Amino acid sequence: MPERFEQVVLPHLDAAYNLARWLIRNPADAEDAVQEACLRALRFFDGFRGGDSRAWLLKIVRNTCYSWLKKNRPTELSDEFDETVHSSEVPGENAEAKLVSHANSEHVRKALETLPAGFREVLVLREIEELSYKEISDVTGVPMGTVMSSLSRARQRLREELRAAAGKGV
Amino acid sequence: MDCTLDRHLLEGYIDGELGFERTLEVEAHLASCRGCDSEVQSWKEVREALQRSDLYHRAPAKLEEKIRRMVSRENRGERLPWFHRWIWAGGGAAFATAALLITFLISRPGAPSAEQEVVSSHVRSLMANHLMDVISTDQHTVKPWFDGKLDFAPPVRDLATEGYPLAGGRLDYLENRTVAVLVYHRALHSINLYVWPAIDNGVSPVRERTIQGYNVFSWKKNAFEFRAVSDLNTDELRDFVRLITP
Repeated sequence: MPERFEQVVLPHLDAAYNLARWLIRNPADAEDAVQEACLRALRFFDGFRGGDSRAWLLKIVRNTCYSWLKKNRPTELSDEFDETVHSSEVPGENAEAKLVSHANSEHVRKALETLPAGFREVLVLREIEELSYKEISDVTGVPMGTVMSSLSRARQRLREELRAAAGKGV
Repeated sequence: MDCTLDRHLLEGYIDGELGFERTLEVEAHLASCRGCDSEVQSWKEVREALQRSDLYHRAPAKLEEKIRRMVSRENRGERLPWFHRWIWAGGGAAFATAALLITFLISRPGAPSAEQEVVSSHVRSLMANHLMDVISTDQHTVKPWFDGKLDFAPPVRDLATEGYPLAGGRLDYLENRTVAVLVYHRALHSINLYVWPAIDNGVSPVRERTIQGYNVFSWKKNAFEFRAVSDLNTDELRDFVRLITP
């Protein structure tokens, strides 16, 4: 069993750490969370029936991170789902051009870090980890339709952050 | 700008989640709509920036070592001190939540994702108070409402005289495509009937399953895929299914 566990879990350690690191945003706590998640995964390994082991592990990592956030930074989780999309106007071409010129990774990193956890999570899973809608739905436990709409809102928010940074001439 | 493209289609295109035909449809639109085209281009730039390697946090080498040691310790039956701290520090509740979630995961052994998806959609339609986009008991109102919103014409029948009045319809998104949903009532129960074109002309018999307490009937007939979902009892739902596609 331990051999099989290691074969299933260890190949996805980078993905697990990357998600934890983006959710918790601090290396030491992210490392603890991944370790904790792996322990949970080990205890529940009998329940793993084959299939998508990455999604299975990421789901556990995600839940561990959310528990951690709830306990250590409860305010971070409170501000995200009452969010409405504030700018409904379609960006003009100039704004888009400006946005593009600012899309270097340092700006994008800063913008992504300022988003609420739920938006950060869906963007990391989709764009950095390259999961499909279906996989994201498995990991986060929300229906595909909800994945699509939060991804859409997350993109809009990231654009707004980038545009704001561009406006400030950062 | 009078762009009428569905936002979900554009996002689905950006994410490569559309089928072949839908992709062509969006590409044709992009050729003529500068707004959408520049949006796609600018997102591609953002995506490239997101995917640059310095945004990916690789696990530190020592983490893998720690986990290997933890696994062998765990298998010898030892507990880690930090794990205890976690439990006593109130992590117990969090752990229970995770356990519950995982038990939930285990307790639905291999439900095909499509059926699970239908149930999620059904529950969502009830929770979000978004059961219907067109409310009508008249099949001649409901059927034309779908015109221009779908690339197929779903069969719509009112079954009021049989005891299952048509209540309305809406669009939903399942298996990477937009589908028609017809809503029927039986006493206080709602039945969501999902319809979309089958890939082939084959017929498949009705398959009955129970997922999260909902009855899900799946079948294929007359070149359509059907999924009926409801909290209605199995006998009545079976009767309903028989009436829909005799």
